[in-house]
Amino acid sequence: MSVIEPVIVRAALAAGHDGLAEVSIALRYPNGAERTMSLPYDAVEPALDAMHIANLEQLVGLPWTTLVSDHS
Amino acid sequence: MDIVIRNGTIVDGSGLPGYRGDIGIEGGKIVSVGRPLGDTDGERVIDAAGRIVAPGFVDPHTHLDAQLLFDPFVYPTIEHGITTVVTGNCSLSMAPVRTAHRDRFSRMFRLIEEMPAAAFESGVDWRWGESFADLLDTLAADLALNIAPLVGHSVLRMYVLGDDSRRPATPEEVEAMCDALRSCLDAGAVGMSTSYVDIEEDFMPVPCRFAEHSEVEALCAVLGERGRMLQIVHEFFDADLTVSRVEMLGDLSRRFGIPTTLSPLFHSAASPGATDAVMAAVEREVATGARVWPQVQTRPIDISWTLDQRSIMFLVIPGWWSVLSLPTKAEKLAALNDPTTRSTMVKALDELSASTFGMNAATIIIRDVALEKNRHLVGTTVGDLATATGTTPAEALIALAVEEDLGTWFIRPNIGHVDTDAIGPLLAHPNVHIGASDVGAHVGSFSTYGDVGLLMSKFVRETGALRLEEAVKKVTSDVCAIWGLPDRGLLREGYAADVVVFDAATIGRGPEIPSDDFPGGGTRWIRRSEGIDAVIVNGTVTWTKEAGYIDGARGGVVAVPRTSGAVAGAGRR
Repeated sequence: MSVIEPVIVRAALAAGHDGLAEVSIALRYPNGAERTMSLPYDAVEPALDAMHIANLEQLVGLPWTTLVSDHS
Repeated sequence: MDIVIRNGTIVDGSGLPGYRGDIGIEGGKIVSVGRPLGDTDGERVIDAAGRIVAPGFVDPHTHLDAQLLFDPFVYPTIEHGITTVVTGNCSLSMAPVRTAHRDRFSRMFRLIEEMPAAAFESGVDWRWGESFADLLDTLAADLALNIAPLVGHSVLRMYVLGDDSRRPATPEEVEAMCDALRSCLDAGAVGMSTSYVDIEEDFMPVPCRFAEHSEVEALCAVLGERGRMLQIVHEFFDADLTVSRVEMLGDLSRRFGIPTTLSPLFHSAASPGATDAVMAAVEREVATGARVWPQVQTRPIDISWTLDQRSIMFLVIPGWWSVLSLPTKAEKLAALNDPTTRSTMVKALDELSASTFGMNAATIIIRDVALEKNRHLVGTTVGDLATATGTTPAEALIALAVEEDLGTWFIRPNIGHVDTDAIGPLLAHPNVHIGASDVGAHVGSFSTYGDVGLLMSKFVRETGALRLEEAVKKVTSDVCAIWGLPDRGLLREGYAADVVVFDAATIGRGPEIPSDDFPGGGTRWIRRSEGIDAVIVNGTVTWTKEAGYIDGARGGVVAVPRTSGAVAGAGRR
């Protein structure tokens, strides 16, 4: 369980295996460690809409919690 | 709001890190995620402090088709956090089955899924008639969890070809099967299942195994019209044949635009490189645009049995299957006491035990006894008993069972799929679909319940093969994406309120215990949940640790798949 606040350092749209888009993001933790994860597009779409993000690179530098719709 | 879940750690199914927050539920949907709800009223308030709040788990490989008809809770599935199940696997669905074929279908289902005859006959009343749509209507009226039903290829063949289904189909019959499949998909089927290994009671292949590949292609073309799933049971005991099936599925997936899944993929100590070879094949197919998902289960294989029931372990041991298939205990005892029959059985099992592969009777463990005077034998092996009594293991096994009026329980534990170091990374593999639980099947041989609990306790907490968030994603949003189930598997506003509240420090599966709850009597093996606090299905609190199963909770629905590949992401870079 993560208890620290990682920041988005990369974000890109990727093709999912099931005909669904995925958002590939890399999070950097305060200790310098990075973790890449692939998120269902449906999971982040509300947050992207709320923030009027047209290009996923706009996510770089933002805390990961911006991807949770109600935290936007 | 109908339900407010406060102060939990939200693991939302996306794979994102968990975070503290509240969840609001209204009208069966999630209406608020993460935002502190303060004093917001809720008809029901769940304090989830110190607990994980996650989407309900989705089980993609079950055989609950029969149990759903007499037990809407499909006890004890839901208490393990399962809110959606895929039914109709392995070529067998309860419709469309013509009235004239019910007996044959019942025998097939009971054999392949090891469902006791008494339970099936007492609990399955065929009240929906014949059609798939009517079956779903019947189920939907009394569901405590969601179902995503497959239609079985063997059933489609019997429906169109009638009793003469052990042959290739004519072009007209293939077209009729395609039409029948279309009707099932229109009614809500999530796809079609087929099998390359299963047999009927007379040891002949099930009807779908007589299909020419062109028939499978024609049916996949129908699946492709709606982007629905093809599920197969492949030759899981042979790595080379499995690789061939992966390549076949890759071809079907690319040509018809369908997702495909094969189950089960086991890790075997006898062939440790087999899963690597299969996964390499999967990666090759995925790299060329195919959707091929091998299902891997979390639990090792254990099989328990008495000689008063059939176990598929004895299917190919000369002399055993016919005796264990006798209809009454008295007939079985008479056969086991017949010197000629017994000699044949003892010879066959002892010879098998002496070989380098297959069942070794000496290592079978005496799990439970019927007579108190034999209590000291519990936990010892049949080999120990044979040594003590100066006989062979097979004779010792039969003699003990006969002495106890066939009430002795035997177990072969950890037969396969036991190497945690190998299975953990396999489960975490991005191209692996965690599933193959077989819940609802083999009920008299082993418990199929609690696989997600084992995932969390062994592969998250104990070995760290997956992060908690990854494991939750694997059994929630990943499953929904693979099977095309929209608006489930994530904690997001507007999504179905399928929610599980659990303790990350204690979630697991309880011990395997006998249960006599099926209609018609007889023992089955189950596991109760551990570490789960509450399960909500479409906004209906269905099970809690304190109250158990909630009377009248019927939140389940038929989870309708999306019609074709989604276009999510269009317009963004």
